Amino acid sequence: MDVRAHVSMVFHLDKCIGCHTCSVACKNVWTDSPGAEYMWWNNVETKPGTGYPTRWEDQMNYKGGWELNKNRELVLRSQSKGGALAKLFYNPRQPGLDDYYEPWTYRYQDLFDAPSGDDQPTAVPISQITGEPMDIEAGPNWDDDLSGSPIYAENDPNLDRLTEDERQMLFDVESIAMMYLPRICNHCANPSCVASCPSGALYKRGEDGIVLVNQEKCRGWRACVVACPYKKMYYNWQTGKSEKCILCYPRVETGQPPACFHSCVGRIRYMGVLLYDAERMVDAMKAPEASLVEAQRNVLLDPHDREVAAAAEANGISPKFIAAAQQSPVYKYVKEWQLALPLHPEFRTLPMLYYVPPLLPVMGRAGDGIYEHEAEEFFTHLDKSRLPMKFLASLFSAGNLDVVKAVMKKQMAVRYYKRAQDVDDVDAAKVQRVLREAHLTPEQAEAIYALTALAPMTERYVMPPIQREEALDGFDMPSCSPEMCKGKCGLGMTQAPQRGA
Amino acid sequence: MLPAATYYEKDDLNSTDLHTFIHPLQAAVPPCWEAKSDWQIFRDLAQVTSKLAEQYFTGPVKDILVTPLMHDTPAEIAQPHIRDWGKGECEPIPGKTMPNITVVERDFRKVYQKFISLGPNFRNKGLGIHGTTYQVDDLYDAYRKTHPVEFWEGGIYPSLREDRDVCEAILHFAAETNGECAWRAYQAESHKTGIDHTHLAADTRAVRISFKDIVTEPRRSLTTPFWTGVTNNGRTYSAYCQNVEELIPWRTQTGRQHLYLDHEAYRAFGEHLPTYKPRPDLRTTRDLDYTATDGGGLVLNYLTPHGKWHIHSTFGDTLRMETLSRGIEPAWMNDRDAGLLGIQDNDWVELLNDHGTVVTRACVSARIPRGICFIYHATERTVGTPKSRLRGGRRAGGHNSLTRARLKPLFMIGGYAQFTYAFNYWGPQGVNRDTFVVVRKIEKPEW
Repeated sequence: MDVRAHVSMVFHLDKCIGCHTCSVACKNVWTDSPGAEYMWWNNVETKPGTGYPTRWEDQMNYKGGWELNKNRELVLRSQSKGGALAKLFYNPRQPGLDDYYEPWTYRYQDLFDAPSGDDQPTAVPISQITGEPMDIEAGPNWDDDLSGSPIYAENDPNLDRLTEDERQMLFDVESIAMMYLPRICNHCANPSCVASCPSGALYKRGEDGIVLVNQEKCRGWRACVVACPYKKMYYNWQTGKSEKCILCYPRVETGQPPACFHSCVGRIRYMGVLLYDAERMVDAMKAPEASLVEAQRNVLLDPHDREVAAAAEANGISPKFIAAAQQSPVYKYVKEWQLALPLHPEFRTLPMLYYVPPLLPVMGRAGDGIYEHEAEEFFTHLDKSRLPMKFLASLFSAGNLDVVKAVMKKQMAVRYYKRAQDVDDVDAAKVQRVLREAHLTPEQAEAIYALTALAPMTERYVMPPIQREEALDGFDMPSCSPEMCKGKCGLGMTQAPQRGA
Repeated sequence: MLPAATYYEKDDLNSTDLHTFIHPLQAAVPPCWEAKSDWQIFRDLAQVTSKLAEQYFTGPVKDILVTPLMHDTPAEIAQPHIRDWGKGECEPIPGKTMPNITVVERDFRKVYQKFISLGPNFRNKGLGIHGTTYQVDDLYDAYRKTHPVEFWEGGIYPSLREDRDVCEAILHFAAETNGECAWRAYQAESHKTGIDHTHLAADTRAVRISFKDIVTEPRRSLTTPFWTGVTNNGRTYSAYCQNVEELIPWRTQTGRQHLYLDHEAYRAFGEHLPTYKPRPDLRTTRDLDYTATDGGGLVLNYLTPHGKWHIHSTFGDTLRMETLSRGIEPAWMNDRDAGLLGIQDNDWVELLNDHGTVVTRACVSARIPRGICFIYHATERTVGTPKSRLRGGRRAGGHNSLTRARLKPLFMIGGYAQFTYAFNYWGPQGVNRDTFVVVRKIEKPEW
């Protein structure tokens, strides 16, 4: 057993209202400078939709993530050992500005400077890159709330698993459904971006698993941009370096949740430590698609297990860190209750951000114009749900319907359990049956309800003490050692970035 | 028009109906350029007014003040019938058949001093609303000893010179933030109902919430008879709990939950009981009498709901919100309706009716039912608004160019029972702006 600790995340999609406050918090703090205009380290997508950059999930095109080759070896989809060199100078799989969007602004000054006349002035849109007037034809959230659904929602790659009838039903006004998918870097346990970097600039911090780009080592090859299947690596055209979500590590190191977590209006975000067994990783990454979720769960270790705790401590994980793992809301959602699932586990990067799939659009199915919420109907009708199970399975379980259905049953069971308590219109025997079929005890249902609906910040964000001084001890990492950086102000680079440096 | 400081440039208080927390606004930075807080703007205007008044007035003058028949007073039931004294239908009697008329004394030379001072009427007449009043004279005298004061013409008054002084005064004398005031208010309420309600304020009688307290963290307002919820012991605010649990009469004609309206006008309109009214159709609204509906256009019902990327006009033209939406406020329409006109997503369209013209892009979505289109309200025309050929090459209109404010006659009813006036109390609902438009595709907009 080789125990590692990871600061991990859960996003509860039933609670996401798609307000984009997270995106704005992140944008204002980290990517509000020239060269980064088009970057949204945190973005929120409407599903079904093509997202940002457009159709990022389509790895037939982008070639991100890992795949198993004929010899059942895990290889990067984007490069072979020989081909990597050739692709250094030209990689056709790079997303271009058209795949993201051309950032714009408006000539606001015209509102003040317009000559007097008989008509009012207006600020026309101009490109932030060329400064010239432009037609706005794409944005980082262009298909919000099913905007332009015939072009975007209907081309969601996850719909490929649906039959023509199922797709048709999804876009009938009476049955139309959507959900929000907030995305940040998954800080994967098996990050393909790190593996792809020719300069060794990308690294995963040992103590907490945060994936970072060393801005001094990065040479802007952009192999990581291609290799990341979630397209959460971005190239800054001003500095000539790649950038990515840093999980607000200056905040995390001081016990605060990242800005996107802290600002979340719907309180959908949870942060906590997961312990995992590095020895089991390889097998989990090579599991057949249908059992990927199961295999990834098996990598995670029970922090309450004495053997695990002892092995963790032997590996240099502090007792305080282990204590945080024992309180982790992420462990509860992912492993204990098995409610939270990885996004696209078939990319085989072992994302450490997990999602509780949304129940509401599923249950919001309109039968004769009436919303259907009957318990007995529920389990039989799951297959005919408003947002098809196949769609959710494509997102969260590499197509395994049973995994997603099990989560839905649990979520519904919790609702019946609480409804019986609060409204008292559900038969006790029925509640028992629903709980049993969902493999939940009443105590678990109560705990799920509490962590989902009531938990204050201190329970949603169980931040471990990140002790950088210990993490750096014995490492040759002068660029970020406290001693070296002492006396230099600010975060990040210790010298001015220069293109090609 | 004067530039006002924003939320983060001034000290102020913020609270919302039914949301029981008192929040501070704090000056994180000084106001940009020449901006001042609202209080400072009014204070400076008062100062200039006083200065000018010195030239025109030698002393106080008498003035007539007209006040409406007020809610929670006997005037509520002064007018059982609709009679207009102006037409000779009844006698003009102030406070009964017409507004109250009072003669007041004004000294315009003293406007500034009065503006910055918490005056003797506040001390002597007590505070209240809903016909319930509590005395604050002793609190006023004590407050004067511990807070900044103004001296003029032999008087000493609590100061209202700075924004912060005003915030402190409000917090100190409001029943929601001063437990003693809440307790006294319940004493007064108990006197009216004959039931002892003071237990609602007993445990919090010693609470005094100051500005410094809410700067530390927003504080929950206390339970008072001026609201209808009970928030003691962390209970969630829910309206009318006091009416149900404390048997405090509803503030209606009957003192009960009251659906039937025995008012002449409501009876005449057939709305003396809640009733279903069908959606207006084009024959009723007549929005396209003069607009050509042929020529490749499609007639759609037009709505202007609340937006996702702005709060009415606020934030609508900021780059962040424009970037997260579509860089323009588009017209949403159903994909099949759009298909009839050959309109694809993000194509330019023109919406027109007898009232005006809008030029914007189409947002085509299966989420929108057929037969309707909508533009979120209420964006300014500052950003990306093309010109319209139909307007003779002038700038096209905004979302409200297409709507009309159709005032429902029953919105004018007042002066009777629970429809009697009180500030921010009872008012008609928003005006229904549903209308009909012709949508046409246009090839290229002109700027």
